[in-house]
Amino acid sequence: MTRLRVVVFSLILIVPFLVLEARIFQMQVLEAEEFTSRADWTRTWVEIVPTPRGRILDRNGVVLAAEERCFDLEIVFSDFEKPRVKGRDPELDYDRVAAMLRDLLALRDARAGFDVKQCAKMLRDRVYPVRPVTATDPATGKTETWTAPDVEVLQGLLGVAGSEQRRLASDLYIAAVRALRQIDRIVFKRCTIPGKPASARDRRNVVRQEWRQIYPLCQGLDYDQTAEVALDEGRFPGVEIRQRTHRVYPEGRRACHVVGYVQQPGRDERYSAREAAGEYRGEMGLAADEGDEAALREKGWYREEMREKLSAAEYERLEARDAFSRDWIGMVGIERVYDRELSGFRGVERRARHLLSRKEWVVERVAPVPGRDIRLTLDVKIQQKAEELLDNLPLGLKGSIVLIDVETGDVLALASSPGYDLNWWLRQRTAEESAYLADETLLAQFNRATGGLYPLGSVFKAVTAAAALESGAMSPADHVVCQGRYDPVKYPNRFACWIAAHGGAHGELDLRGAMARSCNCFFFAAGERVGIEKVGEMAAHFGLGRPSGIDLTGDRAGQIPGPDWRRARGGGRWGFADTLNVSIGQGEILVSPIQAARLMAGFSTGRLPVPKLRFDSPASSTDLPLSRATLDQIRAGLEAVTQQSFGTGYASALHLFKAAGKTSTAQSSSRKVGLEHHGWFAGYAPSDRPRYAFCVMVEHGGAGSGVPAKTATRLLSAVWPEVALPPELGGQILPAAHDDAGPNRGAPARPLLPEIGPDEPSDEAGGGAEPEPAEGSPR
Amino acid sequence: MNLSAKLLSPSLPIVIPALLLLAAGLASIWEAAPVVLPGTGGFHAVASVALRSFFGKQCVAAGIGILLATLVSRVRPQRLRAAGYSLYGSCLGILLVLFILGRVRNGARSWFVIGPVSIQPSEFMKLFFVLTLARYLMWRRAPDRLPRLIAPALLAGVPFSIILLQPDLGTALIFPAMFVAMMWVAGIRKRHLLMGVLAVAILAPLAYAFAFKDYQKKRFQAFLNPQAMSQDAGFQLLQSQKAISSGGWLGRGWGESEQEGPEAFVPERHNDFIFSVIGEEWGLVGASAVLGLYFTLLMAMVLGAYRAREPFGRMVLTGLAAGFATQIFVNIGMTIGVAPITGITLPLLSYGGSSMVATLLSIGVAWNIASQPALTLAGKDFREGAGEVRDLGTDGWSR
Repeated sequence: MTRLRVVVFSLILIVPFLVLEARIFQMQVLEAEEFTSRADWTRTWVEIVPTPRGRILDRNGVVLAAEERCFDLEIVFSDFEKPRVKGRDPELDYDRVAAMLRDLLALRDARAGFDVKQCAKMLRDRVYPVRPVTATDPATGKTETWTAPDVEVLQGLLGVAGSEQRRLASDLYIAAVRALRQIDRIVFKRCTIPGKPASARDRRNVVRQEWRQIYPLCQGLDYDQTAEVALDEGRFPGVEIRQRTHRVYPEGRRACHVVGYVQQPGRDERYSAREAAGEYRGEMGLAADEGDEAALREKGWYREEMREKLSAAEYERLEARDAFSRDWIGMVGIERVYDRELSGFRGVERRARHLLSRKEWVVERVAPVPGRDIRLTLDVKIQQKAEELLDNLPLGLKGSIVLIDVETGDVLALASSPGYDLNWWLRQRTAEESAYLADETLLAQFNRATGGLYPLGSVFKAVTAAAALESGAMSPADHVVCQGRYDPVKYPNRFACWIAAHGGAHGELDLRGAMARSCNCFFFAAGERVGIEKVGEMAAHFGLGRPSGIDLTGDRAGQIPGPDWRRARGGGRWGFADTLNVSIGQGEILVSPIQAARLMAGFSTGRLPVPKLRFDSPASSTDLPLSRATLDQIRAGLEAVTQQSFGTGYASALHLFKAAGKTSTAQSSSRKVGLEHHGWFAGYAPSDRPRYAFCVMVEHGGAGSGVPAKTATRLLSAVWPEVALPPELGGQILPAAHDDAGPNRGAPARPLLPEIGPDEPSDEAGGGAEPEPAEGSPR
Repeated sequence: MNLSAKLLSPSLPIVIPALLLLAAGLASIWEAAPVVLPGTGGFHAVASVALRSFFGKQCVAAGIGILLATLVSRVRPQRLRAAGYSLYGSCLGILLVLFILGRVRNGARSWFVIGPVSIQPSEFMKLFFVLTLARYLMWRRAPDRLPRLIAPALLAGVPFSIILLQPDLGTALIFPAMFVAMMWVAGIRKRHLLMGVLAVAILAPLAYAFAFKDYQKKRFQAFLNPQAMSQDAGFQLLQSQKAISSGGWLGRGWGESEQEGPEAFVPERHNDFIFSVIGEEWGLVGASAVLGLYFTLLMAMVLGAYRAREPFGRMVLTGLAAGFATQIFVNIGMTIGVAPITGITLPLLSYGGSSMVATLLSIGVAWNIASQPALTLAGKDFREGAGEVRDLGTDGWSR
């Protein structure tokens, strides 16, 4: 009986095994598909993947702009505390936030003191003090006013000493306030459905969600600071570290106007201004600014692949949290022109975290495309020499230097002084730096080489001559007699040659002699014979009056006046005096240094190159409609300027480089306030087989035969260092001591000795007599 | 006994599957919670691994268990019989002391923690209860009348209640299963059995409504509808099912489990959900093999019970087999969704020192009894009921 029962028992035992086996078979074989797709215990979110910006290199690979690793701190408020919703506004333990900010701040300097109570109170009210800021853009001349955080007041409130910690303190504080405000804004936006007031519960849910999101707190920490945060998680709850790269300009001021700088776009600034003005609450319900979105798309952030992967809501969330405006964008220079290629494409990642295992992984990803390097045509060695020459101009004169390849248009040097340190734009500037940049007498941000427009003066005589020869109005054999006055019978005492001021006259001159001596009378005659239209046409052939086409921001057109031009501007009748004025490059002619250099390149080869800064872009040039004979005549004249003892540029020893060129002393209306004329020297070298065209322009630098021509000599000595300069030129202006790195780097160096004095004998070249005809000419 | 006799001895179908299952369990625990071996540190490092890591602790427990099982298998059965009551009594005392000194784990106050060692006395109680009830029934007439059921019911009911109050529902539920199986073999009347089943059917909903804790209710609901509870109690179940079903016919192979990966993360997988590791890595073949080993083990025990010529051995083997079967069914059942989730271990496979040692002790007892079915001195088989035979004293057993 019991044995039977044991048998029954064993039979009963078989049943559960059959059940289990059947179920396992069903799961693993029959329904294998069904189970794998079940249950998702994960949280997913979208993150932007930054990508390094491309570098900017010179033609030899010297790095002008690079990327450096840095760290951002981000904050997740919910890791401090669960939000409590009191009434309408979420509450946070502000004391803790303030204490954490203080701890973060102490990373840089233990002496920093944060008034936690005061700071917490202000955080609760979400305020930071602001003040209005007004600034003028030197390029456009537009004046803008906005409000910015008042760092001075913040310093007081935060109780910190020392500019560096003050800046960090206010940065941190502002970031925290901004993050809190953004949360407010999003909560407001998402809880405001037209016609349906949000319930407290909806609101609480949105607050909870948003407080779990990541908000930027502190940017650009270095490795050591980040390590401290990482090692002390208890003190910095909710602070997450994110790695990225940021821009550095290892060469500092070198080629600053060419390289340009990056900044975070203005939206943030504008937005914070509005926030500060208390308007943000009213705007919270509004959709994103259309213009900003268009700008994002233009910048290429918004790729089609992303559109597929990102839902509209996700995009909006990222946007609302300012994920896009944290990007750095090229503002001027090469950074601006090639911003698209340099910046690459940022990627996007949908990340997931398992809520139990806390593991994180990437669900899907649009890989970022790193920015491409841009190799420039610049040669840093020559550029450096050019900048040193400009920085060491006597009397703190300002000017610019351009050196281009005559065949390809490659720009080997493009300098403008004064300059500034590009790295200033990557951080908050000191008061001195800001003052320097804002100084309207310096206009340090202004690229004079491409955007500086000046009367060209005598360099233009070559254009007049080309027009006269090419049109047949003058033949190479024609001679003109200079009596100090032009045609004193017809126009008594009206049009003077510059030499008249020195009490003399040039006498009988052919084209070569006239070019060499820069005789005004000869070119008055040429201009009168050929007529203003032909001169204007020739100027247009040489690319004057329109942008040079260089791939750089601030490339301005300048102007070549003429009857039609005058009429279009609603000016008066075009007079004979105007024609004569234009013939010698005076009056309303405005030309930039790069245009002048290009002009010289045109004379040297007979083709007009388009200057370019990018090494890889193809060279392009246009043929000039000039006959061989005309070109030879003018080249002979340009060579005589420097290579004949009677030439205005002979004293500057440019003949050592077989350079040809033209001095110019251009009338500037500032003469009245005691400033000198603008001095130019534009030319090319070597004259037998031209390779480089160059232009040295010194604002109010006096005679072109003086400082500009000598500066040109020194510039060429950087190109051909094997040529020995005469002792009076060799290194007198270039004391090595000016390689300073102090805070006053930006201020132009002022050599003790004015340069103009000793050069007086050759200073006759451009002549002081030219203003008279111009100023006396009837309009 | 010569070699062939040894090989054919009835204890082998118990010992060999047990050792195989033990090996499979250790392999799975290694897989579920691999040990990162310290590069340096010598003895201390090894000791620390042995005492701290899941795998190390399990190995230590298995070693102790095998040692004890071997010892127990050599003990005279009379000793087992004799020890039953005192072990039962002292373990009952320990269970009571637990309410004061016990440590709470997974919501149950069922642990003693002494340094790195934690002991769960309720695991041992199962074995002691079986020994005690077998010994009690051995001297009594068949429990074919209701009054005769009272004492055995008390023997089962007291530890059951204590463990239920800890509260450890899973472990407690083993007692009724063992009780019923042993009473069945001891000769309980079918109508009494039916009455009991009816009583449970009536009382269970009431217990659910009034006595169950919230988490227990949630688990039960999750069992009924895992999707609806996927954020909570159903998560384990769904993840486990996902893992097992991804095993397919042959599994992913040892070490290829994706449970480490967050997507297929099964909480407590080294512990109560160890079968999900086996199912995922060894597929249907491996899972069936494990089931087969269990089945062999249980059948060997039942065969031992069948061959046993005295009621003590028969009932001990029956009770142990019933306990194991319940544990196996409930544990594996919960990983594949045919039973609600209860904190119950899978014998020989799950991580857990107390469970391992207690299980191996039970195996040792079964090995002991199954290897000596014949009672030589009795001269005749025990027949109906238990009470016909008087105690034969210490000489009644041959070795």
